[in-house]
Amino acid sequence: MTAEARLLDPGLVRRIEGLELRARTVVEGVLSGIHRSPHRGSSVEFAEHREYGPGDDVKSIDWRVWGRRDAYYVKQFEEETNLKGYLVVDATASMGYGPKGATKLDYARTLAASLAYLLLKQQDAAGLLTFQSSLKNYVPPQANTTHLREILGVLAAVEPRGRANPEEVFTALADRIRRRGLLIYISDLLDDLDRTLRALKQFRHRRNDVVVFHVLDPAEIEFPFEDLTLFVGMEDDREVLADPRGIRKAYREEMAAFLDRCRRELLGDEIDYRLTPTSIPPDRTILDFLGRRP
Amino acid sequence: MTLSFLSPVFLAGLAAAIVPIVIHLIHRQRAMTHRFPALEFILRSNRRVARALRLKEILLVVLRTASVALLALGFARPVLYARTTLVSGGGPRSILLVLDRSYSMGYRSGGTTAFERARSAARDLVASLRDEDEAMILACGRRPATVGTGWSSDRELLRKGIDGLSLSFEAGDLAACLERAGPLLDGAGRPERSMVLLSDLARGGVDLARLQGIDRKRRLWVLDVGAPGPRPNVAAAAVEADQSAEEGLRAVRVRATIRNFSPEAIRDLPVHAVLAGRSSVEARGFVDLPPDGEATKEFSLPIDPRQEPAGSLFGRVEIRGDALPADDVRFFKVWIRSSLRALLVDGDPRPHLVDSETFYLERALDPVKTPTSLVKPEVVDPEGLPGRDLKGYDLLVLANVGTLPREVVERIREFVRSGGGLFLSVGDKVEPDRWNEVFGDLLPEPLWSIRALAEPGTSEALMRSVHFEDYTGEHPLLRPLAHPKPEGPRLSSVSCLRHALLKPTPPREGVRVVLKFSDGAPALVEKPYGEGRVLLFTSSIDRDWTDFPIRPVYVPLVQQIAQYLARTLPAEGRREWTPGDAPLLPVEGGGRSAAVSDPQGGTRTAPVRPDPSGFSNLEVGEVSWPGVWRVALGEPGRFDFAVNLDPKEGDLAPIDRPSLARALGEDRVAFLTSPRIASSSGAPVERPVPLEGAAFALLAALLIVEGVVAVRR
Repeated sequence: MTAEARLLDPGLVRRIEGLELRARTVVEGVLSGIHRSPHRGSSVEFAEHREYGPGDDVKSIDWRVWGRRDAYYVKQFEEETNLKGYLVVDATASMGYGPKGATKLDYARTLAASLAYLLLKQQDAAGLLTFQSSLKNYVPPQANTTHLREILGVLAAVEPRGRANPEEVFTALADRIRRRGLLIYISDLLDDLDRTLRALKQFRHRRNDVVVFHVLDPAEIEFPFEDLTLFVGMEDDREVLADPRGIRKAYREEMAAFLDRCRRELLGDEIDYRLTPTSIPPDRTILDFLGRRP
Repeated sequence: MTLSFLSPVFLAGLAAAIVPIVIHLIHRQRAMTHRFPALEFILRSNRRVARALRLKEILLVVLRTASVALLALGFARPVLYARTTLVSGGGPRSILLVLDRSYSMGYRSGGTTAFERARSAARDLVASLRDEDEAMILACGRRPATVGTGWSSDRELLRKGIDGLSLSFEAGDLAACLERAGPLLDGAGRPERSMVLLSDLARGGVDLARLQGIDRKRRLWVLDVGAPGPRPNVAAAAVEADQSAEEGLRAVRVRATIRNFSPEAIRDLPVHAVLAGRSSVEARGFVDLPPDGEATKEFSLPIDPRQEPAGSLFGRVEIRGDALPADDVRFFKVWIRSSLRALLVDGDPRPHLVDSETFYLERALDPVKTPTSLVKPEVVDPEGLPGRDLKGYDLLVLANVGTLPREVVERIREFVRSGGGLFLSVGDKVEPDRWNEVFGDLLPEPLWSIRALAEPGTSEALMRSVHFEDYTGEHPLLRPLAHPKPEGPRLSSVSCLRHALLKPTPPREGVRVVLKFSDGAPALVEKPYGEGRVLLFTSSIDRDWTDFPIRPVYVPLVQQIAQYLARTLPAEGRREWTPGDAPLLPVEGGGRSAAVSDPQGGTRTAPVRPDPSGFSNLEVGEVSWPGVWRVALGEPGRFDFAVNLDPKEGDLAPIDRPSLARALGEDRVAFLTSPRIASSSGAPVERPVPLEGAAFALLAALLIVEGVVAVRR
């Protein structure tokens, strides 16, 4: 079975086919599409002036403004372009939790593949970045449908391992996302939450459209265990012997506080946050996601 | 306040209290492992609830451990002896002093016996009485008896009554004692009435089931005067003795049962057996005794039947003395039989011996024909009888003898008159009228006619024959054959086709029908004649008229007839009695009396009285001492008997107090710790408080709490 066939449920494809991915903000791109791009190019309508800065094209300088103000200003133009989507998939060890064949990473793979396909289908660019303790894979965004194969290949091959280093990951990410686009972050957020949230907010502040799919196994949310159990960490050597019945209430409270913080802080910065238990079918997750986007 | 346990063996279950702890530790070790990504949340949760969880864990382990411990303690039946004070009322009192004088009170420890301690305590109690009080003394063994003249305020008189008491040889019977006490208290003169029991509370004399039925309205104070701690005792519990047939009647076999009333095994305990015949014979041996068990020791004491006259011999078995010597000796009586000479006159001798009248009889009297056979029969025909000196015989049998010369009959009369036994059987040689004329007053009843029911071998024989009736009476001749076992010899198996009928005559003294046929006609009739006896059998003693000789009952009945007529049957009745019994000894003939000598050397005159069954009994009166009691009646030693202690009283272990209190009524019983009951602060008593109920109730409560804590999240 090919990677494509393994990850794309034909039924899923059919159901989301016909939907369009719309970005809430105008994005920059190299292909024509249906989104408004904030990038002021020279072949479109004039939008506004801004001061000339290093790196700007000299040909964009509006000399009339220079004549009046004795300062260099360039023109900004509206230019319509396609969406550039970056699918960032957490492939750390914790993502390997869950029943065989239905781990969090499996779910993330399916989700990412579906979104990639959707982007490419509507002639948007889709790129992929996977990370573990450092950047693992990077597939630059492209808009051709054959690019899907490359994305799917990377997704299929990645295995959960290691522990995230948010500093390094988001620095690498920032180096690659130079233009405003859509950042789809698929993770369990069980790594350094403060740094992760901070980094996501920075991406948002740079006027990227950020979506966070917070993928968790239902057991991590409900903590349904009964018997005395030695719990062993998946990304380190820590272990703890606990009576689940005794700590269940406290655990759920801790988890609820965690989820609440994620939601509150991300939504507060206009980051699209979606708690995604792996018990919910991926197609439903995407439909919900697309249905709510303006 | 002291804590005691009625079943301490269950305290071993306390070791099981460690099980919940072990399970807890094992449970922790066997926890399953699970890789989990959100470990940080578990750690934070654990930190939050760790303390509460640990407390819950500890509490559960404690509850479970305590539950197991309480279960073991509950089964061990804890009893708390709480010392308190019984303050007696201020008004005049009637106090019944119940003093146990059963032989277990003779147990010596610390230089005194329990009985001496009881008497001392009784004196102290009497001394503590006030002027307005009164007291009575009730001495208890097997038969409770009051001492003195009843209720008295005279302390000196009461003290004398106590001093006059002596230890008995009787077994205790606390129930009979308290039953007697109730009506005595009802007749007391003071408003406040109570009784004080001074006893060693030996369980051999306590029947808890009977105590529960006794009236409980009076207060009972109990003072245990028994030895504190264990009271080991060994007793000679039983003895059987008989003349050993295996050894040709030349030895007496004695089988002694020794009982160990202590929890320790005893090895090599010396046992001594003595037989007091013409010369004393002794034997010694050793026996090993298991804890709280018994063992049997056998002795074979040789005798010479030719030297020892027939009759009773006495002996005793002794064990090494201990703190209760009364039950270390046991007496026995053995009946010695010597040979019996019988002369059989065959009235119908035949060439074929098997057809002779006395063929079967001779063989039934001496089945094995050994030099030491009990009965030595000689057979003659009627012509040979005049030449025999009857003085040398014990028994004369005239089997189908039709007639004899007058002088021979006269010699037979003299023989029977002098104590010999005469057995007469009829047959075809007997003509009733002629017979009546020849034997005259020797016959118990004159013959009337011969009744022929059928001819042998005909079909009528089976239908018309008569049978012996099965016997259910008390005649010593037939008593061994009364109430036959299903597989044993039965009189009713004998059938008869011809027999003599007797003339109906007025009843004569001493003449009685011993055995009947099924048609009511007499089969065996007895008559005393001078010092001897006559038995008349109304059919043939061979197979001519009856199948008697071929029935299993023939041999034992013939042996009994021989012994009965020769007066060598053992005396009837029990050979052994216990102190407190009043023996009745079956004897023959009433209207007499006999001198009875006790082991202490005293004598009394015992009357002989008839009873409704037609027999007579010698009324010995109450026997108080163990040993051999001699009765001067009939043959020397015939009616002598042994008195031995009841061995159950040798079990000296005290009955547990809570059980005793429950049987007597816990609300009215208190255990005194000292014999003073009249002090102003009241009588110090120990009340047993059983705790097993509380232990189980607490266990139930702990289990409920454990269940709630375990499921609580």
